[in-house]
Amino acid sequence: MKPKTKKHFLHYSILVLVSLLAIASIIYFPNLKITKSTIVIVFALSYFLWGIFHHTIEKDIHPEIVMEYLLFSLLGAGSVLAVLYYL
Amino acid sequence: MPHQHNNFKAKLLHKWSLLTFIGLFLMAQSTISLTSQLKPGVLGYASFISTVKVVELTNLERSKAGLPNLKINPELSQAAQSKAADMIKRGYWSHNTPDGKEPWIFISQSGYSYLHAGENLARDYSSAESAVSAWMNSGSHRANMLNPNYQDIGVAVVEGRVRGVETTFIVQMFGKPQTSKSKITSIQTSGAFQQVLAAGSVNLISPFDLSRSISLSFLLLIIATLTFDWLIVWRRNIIRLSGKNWAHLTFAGTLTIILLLIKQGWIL
Repeated sequence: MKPKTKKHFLHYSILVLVSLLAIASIIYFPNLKITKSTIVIVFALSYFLWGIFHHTIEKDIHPEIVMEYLLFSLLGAGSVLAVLYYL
Repeated sequence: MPHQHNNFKAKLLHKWSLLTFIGLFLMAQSTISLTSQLKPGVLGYASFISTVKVVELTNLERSKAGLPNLKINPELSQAAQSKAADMIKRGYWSHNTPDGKEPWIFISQSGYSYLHAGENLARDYSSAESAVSAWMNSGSHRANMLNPNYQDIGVAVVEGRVRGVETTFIVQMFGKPQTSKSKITSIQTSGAFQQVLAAGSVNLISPFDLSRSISLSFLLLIIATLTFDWLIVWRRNIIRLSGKNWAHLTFAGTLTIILLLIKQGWIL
């Protein structure tokens, strides 16, 4: 495996692991609204930070990219939190 | 479609498009919230929950655990009814009242002298099965339902408006009388039996379902756009400065799964 591919594999593995952890936590705490909201916020924040670290290591970090990850994180977290509000 | 005029990136994934998405999303979700406030009774949780069914399912679980069935006690049913009515009237959702009184006060006020007592609460479930299933999946609620000390049960299913949204509360009260000779006979046509509600006869739109549909639509649109964008970039071998589509897809996909996993209803 090429060093760059290996690095990508590691980065994406971390992202997939965090995603699986978020899903498992939601299943594990089926009736706790505050816990579920916290899980979603932490997951969105982790994703934003993952994006920053990944592009920093890739040496292609740019304010537009930071903004892109920020907007995706906000939209993603907002879409779930809005639903949790009605639980 | 990504091409030179949009910086080789699907227009829907541009910064301003994403901001527009957020704006539209906020507007759509605010409309649901405002409808709840300004047009109370339009949105709500329709349910077809009967108190008899809740008791039947509880006794079914007890039978599976080798425990004797609980008998419906009109005084406990009255206590459950009073508790539910109090929660709606004073707008709270907890075992204790806002002034710190414990749930047992409702049992005592109903005239039931208890040696052991317990309470399970649920709200916004669409069926008795889903509520009982949620209780059985929670350690403390399950312990209440399968407590060998209890002999009697009272259930109330009551509707009311909370923050302008029609809500269904289910209150389950358990008890063992102080004397083994209970003055209450089991099956009486009062209290619980008369509260067989069919809120579903009113065609309410669940704000939870509506909100989830909007969120899912936004996420699925983003997933479709990201997939299409990735496909074009990959086929045309375009090199560009951008966030990673695979990462965005993982993120959006995870949130979609989470949205699908979240179930309506709440127990306490």
